[in-house]
Amino acid sequence: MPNEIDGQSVALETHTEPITPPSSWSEPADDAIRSGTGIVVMDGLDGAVPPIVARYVPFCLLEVEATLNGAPWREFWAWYRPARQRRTEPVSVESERPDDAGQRLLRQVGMALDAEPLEAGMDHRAERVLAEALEGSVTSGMLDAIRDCCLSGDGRLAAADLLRCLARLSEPGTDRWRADLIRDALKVGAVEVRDAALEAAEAWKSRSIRDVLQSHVDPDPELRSEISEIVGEWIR
Amino acid sequence: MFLARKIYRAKWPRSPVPLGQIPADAVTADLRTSRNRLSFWRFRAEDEVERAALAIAAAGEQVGKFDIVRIDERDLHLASTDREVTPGKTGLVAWQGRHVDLVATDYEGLGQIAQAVRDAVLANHWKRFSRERVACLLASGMASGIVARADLSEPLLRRLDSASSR
Repeated sequence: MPNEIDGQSVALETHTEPITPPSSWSEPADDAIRSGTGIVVMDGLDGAVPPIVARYVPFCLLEVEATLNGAPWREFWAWYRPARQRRTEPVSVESERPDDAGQRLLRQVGMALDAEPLEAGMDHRAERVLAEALEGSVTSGMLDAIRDCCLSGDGRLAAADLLRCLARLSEPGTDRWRADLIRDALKVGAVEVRDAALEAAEAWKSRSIRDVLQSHVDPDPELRSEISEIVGEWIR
Repeated sequence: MFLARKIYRAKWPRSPVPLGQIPADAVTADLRTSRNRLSFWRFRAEDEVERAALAIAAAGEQVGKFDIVRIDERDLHLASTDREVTPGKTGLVAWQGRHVDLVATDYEGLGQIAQAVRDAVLANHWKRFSRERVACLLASGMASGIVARADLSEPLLRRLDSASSR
């Protein structure tokens, strides 16, 4: 273990060693990563930060509590190994301030959408920006920022447009993240956001998303009918 | 005759609103002009909407959900100069001659089209095509030979080939 952070000496006080690694990338692993502050620090792992984290799975997590210049300091460390034949989900890895990457990404997506409106069935630069960001090192701050913007917009970027762009990506974030995003987006008052959430649900089909749809009763009859159709198509 | 165009139905009002209160995003996103022209597909019978959907899907780059609004041409009070037949860039070969551009040279012309779309949406003259449905339409169109691979866009072909190999 390194005994310094940002070049300053750190007195390690306690640590929990190590969280049992999952046999494959699964929901329990997601829980483990998202426990505590949800921050997984990659810096300092002997320069072995995977270039494309989505292709790696965590095999060991370590929580460290320390004192830095008298102030409490808490971190999670994660070790990764190549995914090999296992199917993997992008993991949350944070190596910069929580919102920086997410806000930067949203600015880029917003600029792309400002330049040209999204058109159903046609490629758009915004989805390429999102795809490149989410296929690389995904930070929890990035996913949080995307989620927040999908639920409320950010004054510059329309929530529904962002959701529609996301719907064009095969599997952004984790299955749980996607299901939670759809569940929360279906609670938004704006019909257009709920409509975009259904577009994403249809694109990302999974059991958890189907559960979300089946438990949702939309106030809008058109969307209620669409939900029935989507679920019906999955069951067939 | 009818005119069909791809829209995002969710951007349009759910209940009657005056022309001046049609959401700006609906107009700027769904009625975006190019050289003062708007692209439509023209057809004779109401039951040809599915074919119009196939023409639109086979003109795209992605397999995804879209909505189609159907406007009765008579509602637009078009002069002959307001409509230009232009080649349709679609893989549905039989429909390549059914593409028209409506000329909206000014704010008033565009407003007239916006009003027709609003009225058609509120009259339920629109239809949603789910991603699954679009995929089915394209697959059956290609299988039956009415959709020509050579006339599909490269991104769409790549996606269709990738989906069929799974």
